[in-house]
Amino acid sequence: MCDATDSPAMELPPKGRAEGARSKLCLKCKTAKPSITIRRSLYCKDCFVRASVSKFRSALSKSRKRMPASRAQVMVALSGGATSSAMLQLMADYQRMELKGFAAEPTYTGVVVGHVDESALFSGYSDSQICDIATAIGVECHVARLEDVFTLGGDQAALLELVHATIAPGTTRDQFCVQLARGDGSTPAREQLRALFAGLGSATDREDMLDIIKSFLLAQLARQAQCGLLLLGDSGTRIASKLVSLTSRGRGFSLPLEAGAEAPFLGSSSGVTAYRPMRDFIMKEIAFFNLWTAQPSVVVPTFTTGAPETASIDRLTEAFVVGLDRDFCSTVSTVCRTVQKLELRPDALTAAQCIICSMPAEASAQAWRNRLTVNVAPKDQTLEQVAVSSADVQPPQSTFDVTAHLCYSCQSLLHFAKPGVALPAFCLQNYREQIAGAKPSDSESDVGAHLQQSQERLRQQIEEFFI
Amino acid sequence: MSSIETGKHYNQPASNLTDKVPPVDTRKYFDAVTKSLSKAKEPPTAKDAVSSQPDGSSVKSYLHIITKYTSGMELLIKDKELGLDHVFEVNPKAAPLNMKDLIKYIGETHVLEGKQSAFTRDETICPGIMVIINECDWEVMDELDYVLKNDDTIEFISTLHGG
Repeated sequence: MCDATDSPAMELPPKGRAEGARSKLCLKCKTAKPSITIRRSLYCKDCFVRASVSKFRSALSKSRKRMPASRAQVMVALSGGATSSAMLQLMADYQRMELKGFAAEPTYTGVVVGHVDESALFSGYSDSQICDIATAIGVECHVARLEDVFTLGGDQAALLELVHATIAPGTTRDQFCVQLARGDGSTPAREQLRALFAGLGSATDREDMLDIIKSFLLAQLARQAQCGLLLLGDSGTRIASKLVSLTSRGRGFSLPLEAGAEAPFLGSSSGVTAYRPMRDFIMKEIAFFNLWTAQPSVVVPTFTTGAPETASIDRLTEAFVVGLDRDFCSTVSTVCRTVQKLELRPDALTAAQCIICSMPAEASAQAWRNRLTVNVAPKDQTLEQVAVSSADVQPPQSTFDVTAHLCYSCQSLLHFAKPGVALPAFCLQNYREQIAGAKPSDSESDVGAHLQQSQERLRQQIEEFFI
Repeated sequence: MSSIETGKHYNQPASNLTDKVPPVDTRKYFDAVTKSLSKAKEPPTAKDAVSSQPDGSSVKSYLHIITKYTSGMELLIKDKELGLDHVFEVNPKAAPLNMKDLIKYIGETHVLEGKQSAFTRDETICPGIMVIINECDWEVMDELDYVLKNDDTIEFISTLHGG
């Protein structure tokens, strides 16, 4: 009687399908025939577009209530993809409404677009197409190029170059040694950028690094344009898959900053607040919104475009979330609500920032790794020998150990990178700021003493770069 | 007990009309005249299709379908065009052509070699690809069971990150 096969649920149609939808009417106006079903609710074209507009407005005002940003210009981060294009149109509409309204002054002084041109890595589209999307809506477009991260301090600026990275189970400290390398100005920035991505271990690492570089450039663009608020086009579907992929990449510590509805962008020191007002939209809504409002968008390729699902962690989690959401239509919204409940741990607020990704770096990354890392020891060595031999390796005099300045995820990123990879210029800037700001009282025991020594050496070496 | 009765009710085999007709051999049906929109000066008509048949007899009926591929779907399609015109020969005695047949046909004929798994899975479209029939969500149009009509426009939109 209690046999599972007798359960009525087994024979029910998959959730999310609107059965007999053609005979029903739109949920809102109750007069028109439905054109779309969102989570089993039926809408006609007009009602759907109207509902999307009001959903965006309420998402934006909710974010503003929870985390007020300075009354300044807004920068819309536009990659050219479907979500950011839809967001730009919705934001321009919001601003128009404010200007038309009876409010004494609009909430935001202006709207501009920030775009990071990725043509150095991907062909097939041009940034003029994206600027066209912005100009069609009537907003100014600020463009940064990916390769700019290598020329921040001039053509011949020094960069941090990875010498070796060691992760060994059982050791007391992992080692990530870098050295200063001064470019001779002969290698174009584009080539340096390509060399960086070619030197990374996997598609997941490359996507990670691309995200980091894009975030840095967007923060810089926002500061240059004096925008206190940055709107990021992460759809609900994207946030749900980000939750899974960031966690599995070891970014759980900084997850609320990277996927929350509103958060200080790249650390509170940047002075930029990020909102993600598209988080209430699933990709299906965005696709139909763009179709019915004739909003153009561009296909922005990634490292895994056209690749199988297993090409990277991002791709795999996206396929997982999208597949689940098709059969169980509330998957994305449930996961998004969970993300919204996440809060930073108190020690994350005071933790040192990672010099690569600018996210809080958990101090106990080493302890985690010692418990979790699975490595294959060479056949003729026991585990103890591996641990001893790797602990014995002392960094050469000209190199610095930056392990304490890296978050868990960026440590994994560097572990699989080829030695000799030059990191973007902002890594050195961040490192220099941290060294300059480090107080001796922060250091602990021998680790601290070691760190101080290397900091002292670095200070001597880079003295000439201080302005 | 009422709950068990409910269970029995759901376990009864659904009266499915498609069970009564023989399985459709799409290759045989889709004797298609496929032209890309940019190459053809005018969209092909049923008349063109008739004249392209060597033994074309006037009793045959034809179905004209337009398919479009955007937001990354064009990367999966052999002809790098945004739209394709299809004219299918229809046998009035057989089961009418539905979306299931069309998706199978496109997957076999127009999708690049090795990319089929990114287009179809388990006889339906992959998750993450939106299917739009005449500007309407296919989920309100019976999905795979939608019977194709003359001059229908079917649009495929990828919503995956990076296409």
